[in-house]
Amino acid sequence: MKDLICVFNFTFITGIRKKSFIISTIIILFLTVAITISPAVIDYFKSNSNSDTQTEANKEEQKNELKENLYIIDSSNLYSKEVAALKESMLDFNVVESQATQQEEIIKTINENKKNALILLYEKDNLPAFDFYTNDSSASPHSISSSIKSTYVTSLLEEAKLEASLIHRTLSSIEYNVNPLGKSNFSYYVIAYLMLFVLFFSVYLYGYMVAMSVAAEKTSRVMEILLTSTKPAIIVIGKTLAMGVLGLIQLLLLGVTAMITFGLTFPSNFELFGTMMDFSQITPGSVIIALLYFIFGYLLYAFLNAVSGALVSKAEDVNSAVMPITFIVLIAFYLSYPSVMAPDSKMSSIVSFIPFTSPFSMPSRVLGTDVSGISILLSLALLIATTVIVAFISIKVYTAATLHYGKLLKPKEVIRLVKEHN
Amino acid sequence: MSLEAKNLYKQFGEKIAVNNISFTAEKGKVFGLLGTNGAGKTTSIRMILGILENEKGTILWEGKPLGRNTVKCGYLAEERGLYPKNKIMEQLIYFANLQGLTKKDAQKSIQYWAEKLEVTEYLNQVADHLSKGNQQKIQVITAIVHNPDVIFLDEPFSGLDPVNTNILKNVILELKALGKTIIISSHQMHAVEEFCDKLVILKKGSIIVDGYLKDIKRSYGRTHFSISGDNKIAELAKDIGLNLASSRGDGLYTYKITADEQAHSLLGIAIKNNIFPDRFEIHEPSLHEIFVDKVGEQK
Repeated sequence: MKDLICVFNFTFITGIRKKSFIISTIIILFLTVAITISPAVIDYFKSNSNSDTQTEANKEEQKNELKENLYIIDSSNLYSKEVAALKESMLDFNVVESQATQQEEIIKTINENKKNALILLYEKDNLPAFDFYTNDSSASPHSISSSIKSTYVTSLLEEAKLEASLIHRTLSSIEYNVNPLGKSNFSYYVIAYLMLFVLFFSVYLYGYMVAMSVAAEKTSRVMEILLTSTKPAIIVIGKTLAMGVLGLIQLLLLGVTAMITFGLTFPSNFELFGTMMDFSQITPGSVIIALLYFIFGYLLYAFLNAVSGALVSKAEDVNSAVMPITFIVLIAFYLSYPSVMAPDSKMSSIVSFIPFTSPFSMPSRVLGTDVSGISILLSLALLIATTVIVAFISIKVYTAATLHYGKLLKPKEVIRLVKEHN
Repeated sequence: MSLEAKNLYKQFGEKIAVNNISFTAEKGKVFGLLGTNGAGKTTSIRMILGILENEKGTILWEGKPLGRNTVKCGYLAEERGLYPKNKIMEQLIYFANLQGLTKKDAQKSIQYWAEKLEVTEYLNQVADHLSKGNQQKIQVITAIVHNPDVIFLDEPFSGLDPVNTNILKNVILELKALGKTIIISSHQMHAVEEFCDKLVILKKGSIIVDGYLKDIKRSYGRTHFSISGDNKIAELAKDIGLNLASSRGDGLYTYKITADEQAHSLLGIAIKNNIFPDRFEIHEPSLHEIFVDKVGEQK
């Protein structure tokens, strides 16, 4: 235990005094402040531009110039009413009536410019129909169809001499209210994404630092001195824990800075893409869960990285040695994506139990949906058990590989070394 | 009180690195673990220290199995091992702490040995800024800072100039006087010869010479003679068919002989030719000569 504290202290103090740690902490804090302060900055510019009516008019003009063109060719000449109605309803587009002769030319420009669209109206089975030509236009054939339909039905009903009020009632859409239950909302995505990224980067980078540190000890041959003083297990565990605490310190600094900046600058009723931002789902519970998953997720990957560090003889070989682990982290990261998008889906619920992906997936799910306490405990238990097994195997491999010098060991050679050593 | 290694054996893949070697290093004595490159010296030391698994055989200290808890060991590894970016004092305290010393005791001991080895001024520098020789001396402190009973010095003189070699020799003699069991592995026979009491010479993992230095030398008898002079001496020696064992730049020639008369006849011829050597000595072979003879003999 004394040795463990000793290794821990030395690694921790060496790490915290490193220029790279200090600089990266400053950059992280700067970015945190920048991201957290950005809503306030956006809000400031928004309110400024709202008060400035002159520029508003200019903007309107600019907007018109930027609008897409929606060309309409009524080859049957039967639907002038529908065309007029389209002009009124499709306000986000410049609706341009064109002649059938222009059809080829219009299609050609749409194809070339990758914007604008063409509606070719005709009659089919006594009903209006249209061909829609588009490359990458934002115009929706669905809304065009409903506009045409509504106009067409109105004129049919008028021809049938129906009362105007009845026509109005026939065509009015049915009102409905959406009452979202549970936690899903837009601000959740923002938080869940940020959390996924922070967890991914911290687990990945700190794990990598463990590999570097082990390899550096091996390269400088300090390892041999350490091994005469203490057990290899003590060295790996002490080192891994110390790096983990360094990571945790950075993470906590990030969290505290974000909270303070948020508290001081976040505008009330802030909207992003038209949605109210609400961060009430970040509860102390969800923060603790995220921290627990960081700790064990980090440990799991750090032990794997420690082995990679022990397999190389030169610090510059570390990159190729950690490659397999980098792949695992990246795959785990992408598999955890659905947990942000669809925290209730089967995929995300499976992923949140797999030990290699749960550190990235579960904290996001906890934010996005109601995960039962038992599920969280089970997922954590699986993660912890796997971490212990991986740590055990890692220490064995580390002990065997640590005095091997030469080229990077292949899996077969590692197994042989471990067998020889035990 | 002694360190006893019995039937040490180590195999790496197909290659036998250490083949059933046994030796005893006594307390207060310097034991020489000598051998050619790749003979198995470092592997043997690593096995005794528990860095490498000892496949067969036993290692005893005062009759009991040697372990971290039975005896304190110090180790100067052949490869230099210091953290390049950390201050010397910091890392020495760290190594001493791992050996069970408190910070205060560690500082005291570091200061003492740093003065002896004349490296006090480097204690607050980072290892990267030190010359190879100074790093080597710092490394010696890591091996002895915790007052160990058994000290392994693997190539202690490599990278040291003659002045520093003498400083280190004095430290080794002080440790010897303190009753430490010292095991030195080296290629530098002249340096080892000065304080080695007992030795083994290894070749390809097996012992080829074993015993007290005095006895080994005596068993050889007075088989060498040295004579000083210019190359005329060398020519005369060649004429009467003497075997040159070694020659030095300052004109000291050493020849292998089977009887004293061979030496006397060369001296007689030299004087007849008006060459009067300053030095003429019939003696036992040096450790260097024994080493070359033994290792070469088996090739």
